Amino acid sequence: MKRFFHHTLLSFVLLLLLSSSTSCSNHSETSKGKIAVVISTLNNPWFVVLGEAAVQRAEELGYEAVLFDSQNNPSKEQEHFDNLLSSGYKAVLFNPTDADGSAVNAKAAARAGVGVFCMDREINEPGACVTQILSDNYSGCIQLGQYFVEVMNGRGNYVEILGIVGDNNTWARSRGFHSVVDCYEDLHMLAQQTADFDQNKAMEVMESMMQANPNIDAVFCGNDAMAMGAYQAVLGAGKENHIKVFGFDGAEDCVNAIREGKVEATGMQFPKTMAITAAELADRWLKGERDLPKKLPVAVELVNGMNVSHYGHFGRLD
Amino acid sequence: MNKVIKYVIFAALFLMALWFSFYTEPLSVRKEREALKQYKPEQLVEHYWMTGLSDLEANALEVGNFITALQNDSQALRENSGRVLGIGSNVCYVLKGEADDISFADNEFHFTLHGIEFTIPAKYIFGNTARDACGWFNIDDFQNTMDFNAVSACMNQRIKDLVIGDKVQHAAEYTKCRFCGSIEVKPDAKSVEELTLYPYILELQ
Repeated sequence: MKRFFHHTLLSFVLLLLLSSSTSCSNHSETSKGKIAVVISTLNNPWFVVLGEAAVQRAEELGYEAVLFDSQNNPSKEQEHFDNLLSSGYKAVLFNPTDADGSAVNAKAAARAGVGVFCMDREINEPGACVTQILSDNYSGCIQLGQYFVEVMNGRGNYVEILGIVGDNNTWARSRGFHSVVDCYEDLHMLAQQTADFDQNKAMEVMESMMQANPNIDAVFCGNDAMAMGAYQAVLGAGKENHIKVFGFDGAEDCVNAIREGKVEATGMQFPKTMAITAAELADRWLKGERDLPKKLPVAVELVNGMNVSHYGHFGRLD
Repeated sequence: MNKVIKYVIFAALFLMALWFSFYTEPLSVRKEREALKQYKPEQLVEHYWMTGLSDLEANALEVGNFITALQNDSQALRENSGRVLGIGSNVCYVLKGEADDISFADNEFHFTLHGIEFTIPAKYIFGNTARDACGWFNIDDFQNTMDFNAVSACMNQRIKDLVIGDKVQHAAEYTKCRFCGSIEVKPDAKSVEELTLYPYILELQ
């Protein structure tokens, strides 16, 4: 009986070891390698969606994906790159903090044979990235500018709140908007200040701009977080029925604010499309495909009170 | 003698070192040289406009053929003649034709051809249709998207200043037009009723 018990126990232990080793070998076979998803900041819901969608698609494609938050800090971003380049990552799905500053990191990765795929934000060193998947901010803001002119009836005073000055998206949006609005002589820009794409900063900036310019009719903000901050300031000043707020991104709270008539319009970007495309291109690149586009713009759609029912959380509902 | 040669060589090297250490040039020369290095979208647009316009017109779709192809097989039309910048973007085409009922109102020329109402904006020309339809420019060739977008601004300005030009002042006198221009349609469009045309060529009579 004792012998039988020993045999059974031994068989059980062997079975356990065998099953554990099989499970380990299965794991190593199913994972194609590691992909890093480096995001400029996870303090903004838009970038959270971008990062999580990239991780999810990379995992679906069989990779081990890890999300890094650069906290809008280029030195933090560099630390992440130092770390991931020494940890065997094969590709980086990258949302840079700065168009010029982040180029160093992308170049270091390229030198190490790691493929870099930029998402949403551009770097001014196209050779360092395999592909840059970017929102067509300029065209999106042309549409927004045309709607702005229509809502303002071609006249009035407005202010502009810019995003991060070192980010190309900030200027692509501003230039697209101004390429339209500046054609109308009766539309006057009273002030233009940066709030770094940050909601709280935008609220403070808008408050000070309203104090300096009591006759503001509208505010154009470089993203939805700033539009919501500007709206809070407008609400605080009791001018919500007079000052028209325009954003850009397609964030859920801003789309809801359009639905409620608090915000006039936004430009819907598609972060999930960008993230999924980046992960799929990285997969193709890792499989040996080299004939990939260097830049891939993603169309932006105007969302206003007339079509808001078709849009939801960072995308179309249909 | 050898000493003299040695001194001459040393003196020459010293003078060369001195020259390169304290070399100066007029500010205007320096600025001119720096300017040459800068990206000039106007020159780029001018180059393609001068060299590519006749081919563009020769390869443009007749309006009637465009409508038939759009209705019959929009996918084939898109693949053979359309240009799409990126994901989800509208499809751009270059069309040509002649119309004989042209009118002018609200800073726009209007005419109807094969049942489509065409509008040619004369005062405000925005967007990337003219740049994207012609196929002269590849986004991958540009340092960044700002440079690429600057091409659109230049093309739109050129259309406004040179293609439309002073035709607006005599708009009421014209009844006929011959055109070659860019349009864009939604990716899933199978028919169109109205189109905005950004002309590369516009001849009015």
